[in-house]
Amino acid sequence: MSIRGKAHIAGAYEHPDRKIPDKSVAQVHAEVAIGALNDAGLAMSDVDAYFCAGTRLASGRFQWPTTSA
Amino acid sequence: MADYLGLTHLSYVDSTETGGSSYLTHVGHAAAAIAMGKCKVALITLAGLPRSQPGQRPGASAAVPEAAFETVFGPTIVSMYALAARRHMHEFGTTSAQLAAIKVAASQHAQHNPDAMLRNPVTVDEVLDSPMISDPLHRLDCCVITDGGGALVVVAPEVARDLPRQTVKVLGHGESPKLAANGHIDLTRTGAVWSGPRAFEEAGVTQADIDYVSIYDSFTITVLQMLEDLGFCDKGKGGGFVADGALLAPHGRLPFNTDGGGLCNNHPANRGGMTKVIEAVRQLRGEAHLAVQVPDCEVALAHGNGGSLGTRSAAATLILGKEDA
Repeated sequence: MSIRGKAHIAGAYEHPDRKIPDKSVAQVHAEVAIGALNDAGLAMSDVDAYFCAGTRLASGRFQWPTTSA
Repeated sequence: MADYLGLTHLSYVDSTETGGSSYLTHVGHAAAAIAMGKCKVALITLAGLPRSQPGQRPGASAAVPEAAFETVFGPTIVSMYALAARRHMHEFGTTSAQLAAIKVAASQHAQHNPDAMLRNPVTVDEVLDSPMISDPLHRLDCCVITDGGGALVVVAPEVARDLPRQTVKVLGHGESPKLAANGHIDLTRTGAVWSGPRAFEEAGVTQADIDYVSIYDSFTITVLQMLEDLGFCDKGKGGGFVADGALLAPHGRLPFNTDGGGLCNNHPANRGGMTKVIEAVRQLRGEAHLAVQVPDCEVALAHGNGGSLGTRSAAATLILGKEDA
């Protein structure tokens, strides 16, 4: 089975800031989520699948133990 | 995070963790889940604050029994990539000036990106004159450290049809870990030697069809090895390939990282995979900066790597096409 042409990237968003001293990691997740959904013309309520790497994300302290690269 | 975002209608979740390549892997997994009918609208997010919260410096040890025998030698992220660079130089005669050409091309692109952390074009000499961080990698061979993040929305074709925005088709995906093999590791090859052919086969295209590439540039050597491993030039010939301006947009043979990449623009959360996909989407939509937009960009490849080239890493390749590709 191939995925060729069976899915489209409809929204993409890059956070414009490079230094964010006053926000939590979770808040930045939320900002980029809204940015990509706006770009796609969709809303948070349309989302039925969520992909997020790692664990302890909301704590803002997560680093993958092996590396970050 | 799903709780915080208020995602109350989820029928599919995936927390695959392969470092910087995670986000390309997520696109592949999302496409597979959509093809299987498990979901229709997949959200992928990345965020991190390593610039503002530098206390959490990543180490290079892994949760494997032999890691203790690596830790005594003091591995760091940069030294594990320097090891690969030195080996590549030893086997193939690659030079620091050739590696520097990768940074020079990225900086030429970054000057057009108002959000880029480093916007000033640099020369080969400036790269070579920058402080040595881990021999043979100089400071300007290394990517930036930034806060930030990015997100992608992957949808089923029937959802895409009803959206006002131009979408980008997922044509092929491949992923592969590369293991330390009890120390018998080939430092000059990456997991791209396996993930690349899988993605090309699924997409039904060849290297000659690729108009633009996003290649993870944690360090200059990362780009060089992956260009070779993805088949854009022969193994060992990457130095010559990049040294003559091949990577420069819009008219080089293989324009790369037109946002300035991790080397100049952004490396949110110490992970470069997300921004690689985002810039490939911009190129296919024709929305990159005019100075670096590849004319008639129909098919793009994005490649990411997570982990350490000196020990264990994970590769992921995506091939994307214009809506009508």
